[in-house]
Amino acid sequence: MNRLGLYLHVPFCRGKCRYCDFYSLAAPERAAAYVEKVISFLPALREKTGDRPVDTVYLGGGTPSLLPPASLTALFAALRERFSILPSAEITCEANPESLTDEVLAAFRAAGVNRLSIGMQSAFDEELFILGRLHSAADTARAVERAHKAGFENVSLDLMYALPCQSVDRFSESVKTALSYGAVHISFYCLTLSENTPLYALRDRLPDEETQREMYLSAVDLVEKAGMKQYEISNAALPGFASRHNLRYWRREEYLGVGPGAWSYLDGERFGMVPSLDRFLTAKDPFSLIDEREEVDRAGMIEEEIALSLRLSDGLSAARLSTLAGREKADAVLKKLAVLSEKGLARPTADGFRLTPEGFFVSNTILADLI
Amino acid sequence: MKKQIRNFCIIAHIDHGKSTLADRILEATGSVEQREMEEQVLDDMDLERERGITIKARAVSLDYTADDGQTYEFNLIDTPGHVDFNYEVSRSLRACEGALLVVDATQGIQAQTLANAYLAVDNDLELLPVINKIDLAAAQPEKTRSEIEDVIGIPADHAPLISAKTGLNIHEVLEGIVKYIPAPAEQDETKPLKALIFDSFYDAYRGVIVYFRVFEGKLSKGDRIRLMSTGAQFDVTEVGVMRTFGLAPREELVAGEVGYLTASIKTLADTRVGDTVTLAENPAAEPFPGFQKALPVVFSGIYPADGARYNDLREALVKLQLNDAALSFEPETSAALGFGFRCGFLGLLHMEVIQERLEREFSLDLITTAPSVVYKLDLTDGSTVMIDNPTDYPAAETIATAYEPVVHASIITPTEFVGGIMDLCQDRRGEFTDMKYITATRAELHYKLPLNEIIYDFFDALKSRSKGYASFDYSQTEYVPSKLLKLDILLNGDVVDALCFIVHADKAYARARRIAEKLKENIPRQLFEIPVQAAVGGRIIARETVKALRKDVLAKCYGGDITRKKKLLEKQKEGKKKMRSLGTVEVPQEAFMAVLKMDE
Repeated sequence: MNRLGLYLHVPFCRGKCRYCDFYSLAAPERAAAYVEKVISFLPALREKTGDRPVDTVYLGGGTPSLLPPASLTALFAALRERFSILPSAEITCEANPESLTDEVLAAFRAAGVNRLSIGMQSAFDEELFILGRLHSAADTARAVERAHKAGFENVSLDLMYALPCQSVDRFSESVKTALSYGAVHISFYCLTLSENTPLYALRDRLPDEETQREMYLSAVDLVEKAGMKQYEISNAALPGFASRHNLRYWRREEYLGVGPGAWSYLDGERFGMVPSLDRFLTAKDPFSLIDEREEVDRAGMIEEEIALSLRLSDGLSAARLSTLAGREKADAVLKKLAVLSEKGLARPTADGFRLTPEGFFVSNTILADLI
Repeated sequence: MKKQIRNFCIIAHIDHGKSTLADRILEATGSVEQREMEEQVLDDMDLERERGITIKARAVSLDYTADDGQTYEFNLIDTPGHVDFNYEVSRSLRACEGALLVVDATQGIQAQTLANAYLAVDNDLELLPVINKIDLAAAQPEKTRSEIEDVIGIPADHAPLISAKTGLNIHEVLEGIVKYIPAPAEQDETKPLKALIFDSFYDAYRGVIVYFRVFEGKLSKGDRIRLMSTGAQFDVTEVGVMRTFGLAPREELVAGEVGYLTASIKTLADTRVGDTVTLAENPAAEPFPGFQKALPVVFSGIYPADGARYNDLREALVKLQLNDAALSFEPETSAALGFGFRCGFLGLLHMEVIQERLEREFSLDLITTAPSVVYKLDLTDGSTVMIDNPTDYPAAETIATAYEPVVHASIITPTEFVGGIMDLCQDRRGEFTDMKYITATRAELHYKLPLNEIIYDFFDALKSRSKGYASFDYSQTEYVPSKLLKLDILLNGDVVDALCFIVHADKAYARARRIAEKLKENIPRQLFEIPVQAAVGGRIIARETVKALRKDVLAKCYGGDITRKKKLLEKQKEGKKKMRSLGTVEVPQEAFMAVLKMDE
């Protein structure tokens, strides 16, 4: 039986970061009501997913570390009651340094959370200020220390690059700092400026694309020298610490997403819940919240297989693509990848091709040509 | 009693108010209710209205009761005002006895005023000058009057001073038509039919509608006609006159009159403008002299941006040709652009008009190659070839002598801009012929200019150097020996046929550099660096580089939203489809366009 991932979107933040255009609200006081609502949806959700064993759970946000400890405990109790969460399951919570208190950490531990993803973003206070983050560089150091002390071995740190006024050296310094904190997993996300965010005002101060590329490549270089493997465009981990939940997305595995703006992939269909907390809190039936859906047909699966697998360093499997798309289409794609290999943008693997870091950084152009 | 008929046209420089005057005449003769009237009734193509020019001739019959108490039949024949359409102008003129020569009192005589006036005089028309826009503060009616007398050499003391815009003194124009424009010389209905086709257009329901002027005899519904140049015969299903509200059938049309006929004619090719219509049973002895087929002088490749729309493009060209016998086209294949058509035009304006109509009326997205003139080449093997496509230009060593077409250009300008315009003409390899002063402040310059120097942007350059005051007209004259080179453009090392040019040797370097720069600006960064080169005979003379794309990545996928990511990629893929794949290089449509607009 297919295994399942569970994603819970926790749409609360203490304040809105200056670059964020994702659905989150500065209304942590509604968190308890939100959790109650999620719990009330679980029977209906369980009916939809059936007996699938759950092997990853991911609380993302927003800021899951803002959930009241009691709510968190109730939520996990309910989840374990309704779903068969495997003992070996990877259970991740995202957290911001300033809200990752000993109390929260204890609640996470008690709930069975075994992986933390901490929003470090930068090792420099002025960059954190530009981003509108509520924590300082020192807060991150202390949060990681507390997490380690609380028994969390699997700690991931998120970093951002291509920030206004940021230099390659500065970003490298942030990567090195994250490594020095003992992170086993690092995500490095390129800042995407949306027009409707306050940070957009600084768009002229962004590093040029050449510099952004240098930042990216130097980060890849640094993490690999530290023994990590870049397993996805924006993610690297020590052996055994790649995020299994993250990999589900790129491997076309099933997941159930709950919360405003959360997406699911179940039974050959992708569907997303309406990004509105009000709607969420007043809905009787979780499936009434679905406002976008996409049936993934054969053509869609082929497209996803190409576009998603090439985000991973494992790359595209010729055999898998051939089974899915037929020989002719597979050959056409492989031929193009062979050309890209000559130019250093892709590289042959045991059973297909992967993109190189240089290729990752222009992957949209590559993928648009391959699909 | 014979009908009192006045057949006339209006000629003018562009924007001197020809169409506005036509509207006022229609209004004043009660042919159009003012409130119902859309501006400029005679120009019924959108494009004409927007550009303020008249492309196809139109005609309308009006009844005017003059001060003498008699009712006159006015046949107003509208004519194109641009040199590209000289042949159309001349055949329209031949259907008339006289012309109103409209001159803008704020601008005086301009290049097309002269060109059109001379054409009218050549066709033995009586000219009635009309001085327009006297309501404007800058109007100098008396100065304009003396210019007409001095420069064109016709009396202007009787010229009405009018404002077509406000309607001032339109009555004088109408009385002037009665008084100064002659009635048809011969109105003999007993002779065999002899009528001149001055325009025709295709109507989806009735077939070709032929506009003609009867010179001798008469034509009735049911007659069997013969077109004298082709010998084709047709049964006339309808004759009548053109009214502003549409076609008004009549039983017959007689000598001196202007009207239309329909005869289930399927194609315009059968009804060449300038041809003579006669009766099959009782034909005229001879056709009108001077019938000719208009010859294209500018050629360009036209391709659908989306190759799948080739058939749509063909159908659109066929439809346009129904109404524009001067447009020529034949299939052409380009390695770069795929399947398209080599199209021939009467001139630049004609080319632009066709392109715009294809895009506007047929919703086609086009890629157009640089316009080319027709070169004449004497080859070393003793043969002579005419080349209208730079792709076909033979290797230099096989050419004994190359010739390029040269036009006689007339430029009228305020004297303060003479220096700048001389520089421009010199820069365009012009050969100075002469210059004369029209008035103390205005001069007329004559130059011989290579046609290929004026087909890109000469007019724009002239306007910018004269703050818009200079006017320009030309007629094609001769082929002269010239040092010509074929300039090849290479992308990523491969020659792109659709981008090659014929250029004069002295201009090769500058043009090569400019094209390379333009291409660099207009080709988006791609996965690999792309060298852009210009070469003559295999020797690279200019080079630019489109740097490789550095960043195009979606870093994160929020909330497991794979669908959004896919949509982004699909959108990107769509954008890519709009580009042309030349080998491994993707070239957007704009790049092809940009090289045509060198001076921007």
